[in-house]
Amino acid sequence: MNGKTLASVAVVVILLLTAVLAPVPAEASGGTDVLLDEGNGSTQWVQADGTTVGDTVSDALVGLGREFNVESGTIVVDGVSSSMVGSEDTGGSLTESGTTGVTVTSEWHVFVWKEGSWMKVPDLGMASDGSPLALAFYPDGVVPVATPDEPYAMTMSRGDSSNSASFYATYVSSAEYEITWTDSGTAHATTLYAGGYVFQKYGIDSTGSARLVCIDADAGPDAGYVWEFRFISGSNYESSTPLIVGEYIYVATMTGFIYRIPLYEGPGEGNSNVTSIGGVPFSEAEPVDSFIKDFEVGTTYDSGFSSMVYNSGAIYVTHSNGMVYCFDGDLNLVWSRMLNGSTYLVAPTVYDGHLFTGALDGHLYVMRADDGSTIADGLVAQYRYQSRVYGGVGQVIVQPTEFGTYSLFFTFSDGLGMSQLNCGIAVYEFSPEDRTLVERYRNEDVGDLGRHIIPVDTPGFRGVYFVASPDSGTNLYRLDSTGNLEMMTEGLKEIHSAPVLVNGTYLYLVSYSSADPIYQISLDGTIVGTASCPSNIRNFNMIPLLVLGDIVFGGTDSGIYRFDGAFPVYVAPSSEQGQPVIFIIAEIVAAILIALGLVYAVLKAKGHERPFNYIRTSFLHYLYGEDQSHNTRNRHRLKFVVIVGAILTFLSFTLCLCIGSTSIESPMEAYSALFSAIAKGGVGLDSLETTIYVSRLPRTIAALAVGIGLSVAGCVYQAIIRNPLVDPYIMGVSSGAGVAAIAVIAFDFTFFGIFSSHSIFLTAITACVGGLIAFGCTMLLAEKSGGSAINYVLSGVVIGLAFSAVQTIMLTMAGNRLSNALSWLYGSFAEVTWSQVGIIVFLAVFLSLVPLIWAKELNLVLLGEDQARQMGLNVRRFNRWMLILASILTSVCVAFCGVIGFVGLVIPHLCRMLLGSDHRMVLPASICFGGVMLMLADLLARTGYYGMELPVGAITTVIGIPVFAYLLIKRGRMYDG
Amino acid sequence: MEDRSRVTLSIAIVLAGIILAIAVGSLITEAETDQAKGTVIDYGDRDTLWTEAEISEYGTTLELLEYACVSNSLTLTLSEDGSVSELGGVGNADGSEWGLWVIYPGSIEWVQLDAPYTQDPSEFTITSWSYVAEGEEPTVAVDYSGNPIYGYQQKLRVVSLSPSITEILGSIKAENIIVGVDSYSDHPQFVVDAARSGEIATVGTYTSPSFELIMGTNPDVVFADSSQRSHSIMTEQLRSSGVDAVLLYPGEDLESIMDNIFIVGTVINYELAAEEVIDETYEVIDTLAGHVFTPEAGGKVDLMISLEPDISPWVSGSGTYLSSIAGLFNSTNVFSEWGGWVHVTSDRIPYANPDMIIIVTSEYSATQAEYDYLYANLPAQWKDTDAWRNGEVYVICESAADMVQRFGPRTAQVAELVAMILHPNAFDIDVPKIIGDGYEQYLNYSSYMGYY
Repeated sequence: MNGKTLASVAVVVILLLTAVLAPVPAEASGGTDVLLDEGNGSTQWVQADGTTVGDTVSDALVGLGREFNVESGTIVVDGVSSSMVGSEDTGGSLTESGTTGVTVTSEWHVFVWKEGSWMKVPDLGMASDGSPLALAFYPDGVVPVATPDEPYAMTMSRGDSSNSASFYATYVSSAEYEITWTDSGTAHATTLYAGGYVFQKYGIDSTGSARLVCIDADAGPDAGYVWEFRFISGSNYESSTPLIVGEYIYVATMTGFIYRIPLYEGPGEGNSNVTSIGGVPFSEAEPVDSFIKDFEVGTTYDSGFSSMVYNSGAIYVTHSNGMVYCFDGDLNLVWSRMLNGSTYLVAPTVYDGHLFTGALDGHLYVMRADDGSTIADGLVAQYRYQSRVYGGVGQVIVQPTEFGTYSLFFTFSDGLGMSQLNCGIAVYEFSPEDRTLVERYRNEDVGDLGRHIIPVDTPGFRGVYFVASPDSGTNLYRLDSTGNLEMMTEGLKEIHSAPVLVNGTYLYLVSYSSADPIYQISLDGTIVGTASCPSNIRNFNMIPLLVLGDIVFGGTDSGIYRFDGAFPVYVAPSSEQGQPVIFIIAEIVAAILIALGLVYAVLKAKGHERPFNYIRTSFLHYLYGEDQSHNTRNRHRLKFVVIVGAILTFLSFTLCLCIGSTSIESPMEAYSALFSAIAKGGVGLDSLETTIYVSRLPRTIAALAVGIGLSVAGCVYQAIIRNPLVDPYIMGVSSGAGVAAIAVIAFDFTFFGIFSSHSIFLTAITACVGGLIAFGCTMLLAEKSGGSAINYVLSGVVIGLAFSAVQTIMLTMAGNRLSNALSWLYGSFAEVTWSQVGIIVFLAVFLSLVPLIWAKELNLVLLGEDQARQMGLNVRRFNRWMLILASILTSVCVAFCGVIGFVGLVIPHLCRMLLGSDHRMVLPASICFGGVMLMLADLLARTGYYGMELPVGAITTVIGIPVFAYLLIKRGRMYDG
Repeated sequence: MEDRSRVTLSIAIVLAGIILAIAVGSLITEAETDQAKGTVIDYGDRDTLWTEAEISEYGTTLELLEYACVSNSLTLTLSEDGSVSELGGVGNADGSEWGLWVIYPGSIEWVQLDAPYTQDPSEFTITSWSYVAEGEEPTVAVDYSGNPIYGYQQKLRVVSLSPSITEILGSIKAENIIVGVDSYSDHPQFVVDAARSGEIATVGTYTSPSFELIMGTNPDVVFADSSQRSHSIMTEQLRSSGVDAVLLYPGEDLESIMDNIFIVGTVINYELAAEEVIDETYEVIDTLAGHVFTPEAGGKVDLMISLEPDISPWVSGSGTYLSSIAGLFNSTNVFSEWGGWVHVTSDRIPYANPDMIIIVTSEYSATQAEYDYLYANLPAQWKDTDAWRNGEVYVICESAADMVQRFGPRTAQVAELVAMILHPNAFDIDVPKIIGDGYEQYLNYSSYMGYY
């Protein structure tokens, strides 16, 4: 057995003890900082004294309970001086099992920290001047990643090659955490950290490639990436985590490449610094075959490499093609081994000279880490669905026993990932001497389990902690090697990411949904603190946190973030949905009150006795002052209407963007998401941007445009026809459009084959044409019967009824498509997409502008045909053209969103009641308020009843009636006579 | 301003609006159906093999086929005229032969192309080398919107917009990957519980799904039902936002339901489970038919299927799910001259004179008292039928009524229920006149399928 690793186990135990007893080991007595780097990701700092470098290192190790000798110039720690991976060539290749003749030898080296880098110490007798020292187990030329300036590093997916996911960190701050920065991208790979830089692999973005980025941990991504390496990926999920060794970072892709990139320097111009498998440059890189052997067991979601681990100079990685590979630091293959099933995503565990990995044949394999030869192999989980066999083994956690054997903890499943039907947790005992794997414990009743569990070794407990979801709810459990299972925390939110352990004291768990908390849980199961994911990268969380004490990095499907500070004390969650809105309203009210107070104070100071009365009088005078000329008064009123209308439009627009059925954002959040979405040109949006830009903005704009269009159309009709009951549908437009739309929806009318039956414009254009045909009929009839306004009304009513009758008959025959047809008839903005918005806006808004030019004539017409004629207006011609214009406008509005009632009837009336019947004011006011009303109505339609679209026409009526009734009572007399 | 210039200005504004709208409209190219990156080898009966390939590298459809054969180690023999005579060990035989079938962009119809196979494969949405019997068509390869069903990545987050799709996902044991359902989805129970506890999001109703709620679940794929217009539009919206969406066929008959199960299974890579459900369904139906088409079972039944026992009821014409299932078991729909559900005039009922009436209703509960009341109070026109005179009026209510109206994977159960009612003599079971929540206890042949 390898004494070095046994010793490292002892170190971990001691370290955990010290971590618990003395959370800040740096405070221990001594002069020189010494780093012990085991060469497998696990490191620790101690302080020691000594006159020479050799003495200091020796003192440090003695302090750690380790044995340190120097024998003829060679350092021996716990009896281990060197290790070699690889052996003579037995024909191993990327597709064939065997060794390749490549070997890697690691030895203990001592380094001294000089001028900002680790320098190898040539002679242990060199005087120690207090400069930090490092003792590290690496091949020649590899230096430790941890430095005195950045004492902690996270170099592989679970921290070290035994996948212990333990962090040692100093907590200093007690201040509540703040979000320092965020960066966007799809983070399915664990965040790595070295030398003050964060390294994150992101999945495919809108450019179609995946990338690895290096971010200055303090400056954040806003300062620009330190470097960025883009690579082709065939997959949405770039789930495997890169690996940092010495001065390089290695990234393995789901397309079967491994690249080596200088850690701080980056890929260089044209990726000139990048090398790949076999040491070849980037341009000559070849992927590993994703398919070598048909296993007839299990399936993977995706192909490619797992996360990598590093131990004693060698890189270990598995591949979905069923191979386990061992590479040296230059990516030369050392050995490979074919298993009997795909291995997937999970990094192998390398511990004490053994490599442990599972495959989708449900077997657990143990092999020698130095040459890949199999030591033991056991069937641990197998399920048969239909004719196929499925199995899967999670990451293996190894703990040595007192009998020279090892306890292996792992979860197992049918290997179907998130769709797994069967899973459980098991403890096996592995005896290297007898080459046996014996099951000691098995439990298939704890519910859904992930692949990652976490070893814990404290005085009170030795075993693993893990998260499982029996039935509903998610709990934290612990299990020891004798099979004692205890539930530690109950009722957590759903968790998919792997747990991490900090200082042997706290577990950090990230909820799958970013709306749920990030937990900090002590080992006794108490939730100590919680944090929540930054709102701008809200999405699903699949990756674990990287905890460096008060600095925490985390990631979601939308990006990564950095927190600084402590997690606030946990309080049981309460439903505080909607709180932001209350805050917003409170803020607005407060602002208004303050503003009023200020105005009051200023006016008071100017000597006005009753300031508010003064304001009121001067305001009324401004609008209604008898001493001003008629025109001046009107100008004032128009200004007032336009300003109020613009403000209301802006407020409603903002409200519509902020509020939705999934979440409520603050206006700042909403606008920043909107602008960033626009800046991105609408591609590659995160979830908030999608919500705002794709689902809320188009329909809000459409509602605004249609509201304007319908109110202007209504206004024009009412003026021409001189009847207060007239609405935009009086000319039969809605019925005609309805018949056409139902023909499309229920009877697959494809406009004589011009459009494909799935065209998004089919219904809209057909409806528009249908509306115009109906208007054409009305006009024909009206002109034949004399062409006066009343002829138009009567013809419109008759034609409308005729089309309605056809519509009713068609509905009766629509069968099971009835509901589809009805939903169109009720009117809704639910189906408006960006592609339609442009058409609606330009047509509706431009056509609405035209009547403004003719406002004076509309006033004349209102006086009656005879009087208007006397004033020199060709009433017939004017009426005809205005009716055509209004009907086209109505058809356009109806075409895209169905029949929306009430707006066109009521808004013009409201404006008349407020401002009198002068169209020079009524028209602009209708434009302002029509849009506002329909935007608010649509807001209610999509949020009023959870998740359901209500008919917007009904909403307009519901919110419009009270206002209308009030004004009718107040101002109804204007309609007398 | 002069009138003339105002007229000009008005016209200018109108024209500007129209031109801008047209300009914007023409800028937007409608979402085109995707080109499948590969080709299908279809042995018939939904036994297909998908081969991924970069289409542009293959100049002709034959080259693409040759690549597919090489990468799957399949044999390929061409006859003298260039047509395929043998593929993967299956040779042309009586009535069935290999052929190239394609679907053109914007269409969902199969078109057979003849040898020589020099067509450019990039002209089609999908190409399928199919072993097809005379007069039949290959296995479905595009969804209802014309998008290929092959070549999707593994899906881990699935949203279902209809109850029948939710049932399909349940039947192929994919319920754990559902992250969102419509509010009408009430089966299987797991989904109901998960939706109640919030683990599965509700993304709107069946008739009006909410884009925002769907996007909120961050789905990998969304399954929609083409019988709802809102679903077709939602499919387009989702695709334009980069979310995979699959539009299933209207499940009007057994074949299209099985196609839908096949599509769902193929898209989320649960082909095996889907195949199992489909095979078992056919097995059950064959077994039932074996019982039904015997002398003891009695002859053909003239059947009326109605919703509610009204004077002038809505009845099933041809082309409804229930009617097509009943049609499998030696029965004739007396109203088959109409399509879909029709509101029939009352005097048509005695005129049609059905032997049997099945009322599918949610208004009644399954007790004898309720049945007796209903039976006694049926309108006079109904009583003037052989069905009433012989006491052959059956009521399907409660959850059984939900099931028979839902074109999902419980087709085998529906088939057994209907077959039992139509031909009670063929089955050794006493069929009650009113069947509700306890319908499972009467099922025998389909009960082993285990997802009802």
